Amino acid sequence: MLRKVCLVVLLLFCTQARSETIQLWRTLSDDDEMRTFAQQVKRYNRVHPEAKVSIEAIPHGTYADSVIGGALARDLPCILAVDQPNVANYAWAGLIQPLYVDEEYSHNLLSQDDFEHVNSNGIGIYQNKVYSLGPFDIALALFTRRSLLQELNVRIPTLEHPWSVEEFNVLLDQIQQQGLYKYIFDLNLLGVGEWPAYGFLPMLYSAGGDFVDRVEYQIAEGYLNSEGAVTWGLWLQKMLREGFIQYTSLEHGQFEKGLLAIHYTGSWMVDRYQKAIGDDLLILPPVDFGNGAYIGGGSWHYTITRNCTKPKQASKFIAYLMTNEEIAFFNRGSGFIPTSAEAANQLELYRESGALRKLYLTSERNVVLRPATPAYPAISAIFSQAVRRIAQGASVTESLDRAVDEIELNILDNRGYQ
Amino acid sequence: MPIKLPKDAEHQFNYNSIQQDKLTAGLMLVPALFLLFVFLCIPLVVSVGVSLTDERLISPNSARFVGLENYKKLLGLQIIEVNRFNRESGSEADEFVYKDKRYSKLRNLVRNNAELLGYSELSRFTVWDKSWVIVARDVLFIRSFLNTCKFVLMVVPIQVLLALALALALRRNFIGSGIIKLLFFTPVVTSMVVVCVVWSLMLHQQEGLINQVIASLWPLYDAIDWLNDPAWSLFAIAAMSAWQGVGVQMLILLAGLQAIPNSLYEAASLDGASRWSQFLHITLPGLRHTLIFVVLSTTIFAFALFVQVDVLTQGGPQDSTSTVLFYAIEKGFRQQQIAYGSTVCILYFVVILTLSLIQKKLLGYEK
Amino acid sequence: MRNKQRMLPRYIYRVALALTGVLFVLPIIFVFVASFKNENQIFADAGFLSMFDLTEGVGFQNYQKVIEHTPFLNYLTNSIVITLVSVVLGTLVNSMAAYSLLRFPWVGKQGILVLLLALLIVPFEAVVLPLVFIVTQLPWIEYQNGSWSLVYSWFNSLHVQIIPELANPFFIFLFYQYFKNIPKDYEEAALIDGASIWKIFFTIVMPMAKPVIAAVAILTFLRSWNAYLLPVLVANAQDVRPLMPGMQQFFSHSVDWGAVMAYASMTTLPVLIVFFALHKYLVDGLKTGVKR
Repeated sequence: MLRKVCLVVLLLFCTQARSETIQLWRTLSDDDEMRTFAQQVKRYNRVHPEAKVSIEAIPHGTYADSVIGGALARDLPCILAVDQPNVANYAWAGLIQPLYVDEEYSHNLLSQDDFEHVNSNGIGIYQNKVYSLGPFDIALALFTRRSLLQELNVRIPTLEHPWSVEEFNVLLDQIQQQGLYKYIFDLNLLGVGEWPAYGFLPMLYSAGGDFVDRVEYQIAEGYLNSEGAVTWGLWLQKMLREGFIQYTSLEHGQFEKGLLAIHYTGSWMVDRYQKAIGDDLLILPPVDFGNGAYIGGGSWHYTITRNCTKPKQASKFIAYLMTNEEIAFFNRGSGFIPTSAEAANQLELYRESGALRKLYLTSERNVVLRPATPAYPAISAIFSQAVRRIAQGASVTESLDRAVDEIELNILDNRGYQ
Repeated sequence: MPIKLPKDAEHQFNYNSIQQDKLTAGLMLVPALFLLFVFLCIPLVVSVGVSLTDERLISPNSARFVGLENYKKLLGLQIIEVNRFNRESGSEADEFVYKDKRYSKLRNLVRNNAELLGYSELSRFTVWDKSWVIVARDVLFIRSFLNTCKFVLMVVPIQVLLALALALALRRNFIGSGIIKLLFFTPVVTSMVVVCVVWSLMLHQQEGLINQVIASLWPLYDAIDWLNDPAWSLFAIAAMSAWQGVGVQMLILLAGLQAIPNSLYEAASLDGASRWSQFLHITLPGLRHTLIFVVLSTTIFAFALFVQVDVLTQGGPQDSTSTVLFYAIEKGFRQQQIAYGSTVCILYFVVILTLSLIQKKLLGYEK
Repeated sequence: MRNKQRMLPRYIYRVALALTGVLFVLPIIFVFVASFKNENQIFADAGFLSMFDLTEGVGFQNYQKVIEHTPFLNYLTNSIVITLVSVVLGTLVNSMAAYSLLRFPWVGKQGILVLLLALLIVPFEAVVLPLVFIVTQLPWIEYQNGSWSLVYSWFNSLHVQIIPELANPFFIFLFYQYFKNIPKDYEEAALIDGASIWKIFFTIVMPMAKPVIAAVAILTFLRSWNAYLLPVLVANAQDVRPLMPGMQQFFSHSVDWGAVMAYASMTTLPVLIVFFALHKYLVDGLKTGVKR
């Protein structure tokens, strides 16, 4: 009895202790982005003093660990920023709750109006339920110099007619013959974390491969080790063998210094490269490996955690972030690509005549999302390992077969992630 | 065990009216016992319990009882026959035989036999003309276990021999010998993380001090990339660990040496025994006990290799430094498969227990 | 004459030994020296003697960098709190248990002693995973925003880094063995005079046990200060992370060797000070432990 009374008293204290603010975790990113986001939050808090949002920014490298730690400490915030491909895993693990289920469902946190205008990169879906929304995306592109292509008399590819892989190989060869560049091509081969999956899945997909079957999400055989995937792996080894790409290179800022001819990287480099080489900078769609030029889609989204005591109020903040005006405001400040057409039209860079319109269109149309399965974090890690092995010269088919086996075993070990 | 339990009664209070003090004394005893129970005994029991399920650290499903499944996964090994034959085209090819069926690829064989689900190649061996391939259900665990054994085999001789040399050199006290002993002990108190950080700089392929020193002594030396070369990474870690820990063994051996009566040496000198034969016939037998203790406790300690791997190599390159404990943490915590990780921990504990019992036995019989 | 000839090699031998000793700790000296250089200098001066060249040192710039741009002070505070509490409570808990076991005729005392001996074999590493599992289910009371509240997990806290390792069978035995050598006559006399056990323990026993207290305190200090495995698992929030995992993280994300060395220096200096001040007790404690 006494214990029960104590518990009740403690629980009373507990409810009192909960501050009125709604906590939000996000990654700590560069100053422009942080400042813009802080402005948004400030404006929101002025209008909603009853449910103020407070930000905690966590460094990128430790973010995933912090979320797991927060879950184990039962200390997750109400609003959680999550990298889009991890949404399915968090949803499956019961860390986050759906924002929208379907029309009949009576406990939808958001209505369809809140995200109708958002394109597929901005919506995180798992098992037909909307779990997350994101106001921005990034895009992959080839960065090179206009002058270089003119000298070599090479056509400038377009979204409709990207370079085919054969064309691209010839180009790399030409650059090598010319001998003006120390490094010819860089695709950030040793990139850690999400990079291999994010950067190389579009190529693999274009070549006819994929990570897993996207209907049942149980099988990788015939996808990750398909003919297309093997072709891509062999191409990667050819790049290394011919000396077009380096396994490791310690020098920083190669592209700006004029040491590197072509850089395959993300739109986050646009600003830096523009400052460095100005009008000479060319931002081109990625290489077509057979099925078209693709880029990865889906960046950081916002979700509501399951232990959130005020999901309704918290979701209001997400709805606010996802209005066209706020999407436009955020991307104007951060330089990212908006996830709605109307927001894009409001932005100088991404409107019809905008300098980076191409990037918006690629991100809207030529996107391959990473598979929305709870197995994704494991798949991504296993794929990174396979890429590393291939790059180190291991047999392509063996490396990919091994990755397939590992992925399928992981799915089995977790009871199919049902 | 030197503690003679029955004799301990003489240290107890004889005073009779301590009944009320007994409550206080109970209060003094309870915290330690309670803490030991909660944080040592219960985890031991829990780990056995959890290892029989498929519990995850964070999961929507409640745990299921799976019996010895985790143990089977960890230890599953199979041997498959390989036939080498000449193709019509003249080239040689391998053929794998399992249950009277032949397969051209090992992977096809594994995929076509449900009981071999998840097995992959660990290694191949040939005896006379016949070849076999060993397949394991969890190749990485077996590798990690073998790596740990390799590490033990490298670090124990280095560390014990170095400690013995130091102890012999420092056996006689002289002015300043205390400070010298302290110097050799300093790395022991330094955090392993700090040690790893410095050594990672010293082991650097181009700029590292170690390669520069070797190159200056031996101009033909082709710089080894210690931590990134699968052939050398474990050895580099072993050398570093031996350097860090040698102080403890040195102190223990010093204590052992000082316990050998000086009169034995004096007598031997009078008999004209050489230094070497003194070492062989007096020092080594006298140190026998201490040496057994040092070797086994170093072995036990080396089995717990984790920090160095976690800080320096993360198990790489090519799994060459993955150890049992590193694997347990990687699986059980970072990949959240706590049941599987606990199973690894139990097997680790069994090894330690065996070593401890061997130690007890060897030292016990000596007396 | 003859004597002198024999003395000379002996001196050479000793000097050589001393030089070896210095060579042995070179890596640690290197940490401190390099912390005053910038990265380029560290790589440029990688030679055997040139690494001590401080003419182009950058003073305390690296230290300033670490303190201003990393949560170093935050980690330092955590480590100090964890270490201090562990040392004080650990000494108390283990010494009290040892004393109570030694002086009182407990039922099942033999059993307890045997069990403690058995627990000595259990390595902490073997139980650390289930421990993580258990601490995520334990309740705790926390003072937050002006009131007490119940928390349902020990994960990401300071106490989770202290309490599980407080009681230690090895320390209990160290105390037990030492207390045996203290004659019980004084204590019995005090009992007859009506002194409480607490009073006897703190005013008579503990003052006589200073060497063993020092030994246990140093060992606990070293273990808590250098702790890595447990905090890596159970404390990944920045506000509770201690020095060593913090250092590992800084090391794996930073390419600035100068700053890394400054960080390493600041974490190592306290250990070296304590070690050189109290080494006698540490060595004695270890020897007793070994004789066991």
